[in-house]
Amino acid sequence: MDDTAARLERIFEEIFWTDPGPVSGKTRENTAGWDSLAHLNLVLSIEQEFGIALADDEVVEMTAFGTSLEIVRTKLQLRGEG
Amino acid sequence: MLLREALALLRSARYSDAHTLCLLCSFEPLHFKTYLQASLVERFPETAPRVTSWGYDQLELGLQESSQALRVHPALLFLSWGDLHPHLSWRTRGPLEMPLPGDIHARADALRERLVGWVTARGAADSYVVVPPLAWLPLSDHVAPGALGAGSMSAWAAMGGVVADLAQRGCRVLDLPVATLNMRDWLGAGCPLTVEESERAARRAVELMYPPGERKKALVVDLDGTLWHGVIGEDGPERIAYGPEGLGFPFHVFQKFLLKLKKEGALLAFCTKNNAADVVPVFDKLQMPLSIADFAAYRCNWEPKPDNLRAIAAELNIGLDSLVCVDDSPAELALMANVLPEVRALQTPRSSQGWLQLFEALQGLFATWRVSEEDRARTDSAAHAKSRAAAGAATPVEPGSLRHLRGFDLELTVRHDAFGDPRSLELVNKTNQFNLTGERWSASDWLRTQQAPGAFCVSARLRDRFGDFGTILVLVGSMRPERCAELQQIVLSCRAFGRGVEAVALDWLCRWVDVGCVSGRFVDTGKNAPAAKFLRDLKCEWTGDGSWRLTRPLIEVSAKAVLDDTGMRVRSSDG
Repeated sequence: MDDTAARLERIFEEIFWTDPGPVSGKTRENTAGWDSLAHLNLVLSIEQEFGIALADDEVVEMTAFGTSLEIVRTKLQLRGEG
Repeated sequence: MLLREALALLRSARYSDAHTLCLLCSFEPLHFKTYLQASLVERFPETAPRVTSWGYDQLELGLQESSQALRVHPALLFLSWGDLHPHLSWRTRGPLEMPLPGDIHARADALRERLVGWVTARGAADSYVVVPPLAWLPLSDHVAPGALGAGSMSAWAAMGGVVADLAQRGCRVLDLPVATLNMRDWLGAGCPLTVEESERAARRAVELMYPPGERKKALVVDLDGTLWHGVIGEDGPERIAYGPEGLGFPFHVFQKFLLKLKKEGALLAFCTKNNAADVVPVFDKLQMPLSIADFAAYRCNWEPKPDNLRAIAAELNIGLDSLVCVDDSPAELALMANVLPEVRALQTPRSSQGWLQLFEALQGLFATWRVSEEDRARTDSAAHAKSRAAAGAATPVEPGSLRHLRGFDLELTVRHDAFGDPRSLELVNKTNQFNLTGERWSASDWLRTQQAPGAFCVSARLRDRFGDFGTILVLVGSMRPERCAELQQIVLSCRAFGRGVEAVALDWLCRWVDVGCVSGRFVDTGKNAPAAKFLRDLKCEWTGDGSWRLTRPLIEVSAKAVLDDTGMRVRSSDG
């Protein structure tokens, strides 16, 4: 697992601590406690962790670990870090 | 602290069952609440107060609950412009036009009435209000961003007027570091704060609501290079600078700042390595903002400064940890840090910007939410103490007797309903030496104590022919069924030691509540030996766990001896 995925996993583990289990398959539908407040905490934590600003459509698309990782990787690549 | 770290901290924290902080706002506090809770957990790692919040559309409910069932707990009301007028928000369902000034003022009157009612209903509980930043106002005026139109100014003035009214009623106003609007979270989630500003604002709020240290009592300043520019012993009084211009200007401002602190209750003293003859006779001839009478004590000699600071603390009858000193000499400051680490030592600045930092540091160390009558009279009280000492020296002191006080015209006025006097809690929380437990009480602890069945709070004010000591004693406790009063606390100001006031007040209490005994608990704090000595001298019964018990006859004998020796008059404030 690369560093970006590991850091994102840690954020998912901490935000969705009430729903233990593998992070890679988590989606908004199958994760207990992924409500609007948790989603906002997830978005803000990702922005703080990676130093990025997420656009509104990216915030809406971020409904699973996989899509979240893709979005973060794309952002970092655009910044020349990917 | 990252948000995820704050969230993790909240999961592992231990929370108090007894203490709550009410957070009221008409927006969703979200990350501000998270950081507020995290800051409380950091401040109180053992048992943090739990934040209970009322957010979007729940302000009225929060106002009701925090003035009823949760009335004793501290409350933080974070206002937003929409509380003043619904159109003063980007989230308005109405037009984005500035309301007419008359409309703003009418709504401000309604908001004022509601919030004054809230503060009044909360009584003595700690209530805090945060004024919203201008950046949260929508661009409803016709002027460019950064300019302020008449509408914005009307809103600002109206909000300021409402909050000023609350402040006059004892509500504490916080100016939190919030200067931007988080438009994404404001429109998307109803929270106007950015995550970064949420953390800074929450930390500042906790620092202000739960200050980490106790208010200092005395400020000792050096003279040369601190109170004026120059060296009086070498340059002469005519060449030192302290006027409102040139090199003396910062020193002039500093002196006026010290005078302000004195009026707010700080005792001033100076400590200088100089010949007394070069300083004391000329001090008042210099016509500076400060005169020698503004100082409660001074030392002007060539002794080591730590020795002089000890002597000043002894003369003022306060602990060294209540002292702050300001000196321009790094060597003196290093010596004090080494020998007296409990004294807070600050260096006189070398640049004008440094002066502002010094003023802010001193303001923080001597800050208070309320300047009491006793604060205003403190330096006079220290001067009266010197007169008493001089008068007392003329009469020989017999061991075990207070007859030397007979001509002092002592008068003790006892107040029975002292829970409602803010000075009572202030005295409980600032007294170290005559203090049964050393326990510090929050306003909510105080209100809970007051609500206990049979609770009483008696205070006493002392006067003599030299002046008024103010309120110097507080007894807090509750009645027990077996005609025994259980005391949770007795505190006596160190200024009133050695007059037998404590025995007389206990005797008054026994007669007032008609009990046959008084009991309590003593905890050795390392500083409260005078309280232990009082209990021992009255021959109280001790049990192993620090509990003590005094019978009424023992108290009566002791009080009678004091009254016979001193001729003290005792009366009730009720007449």
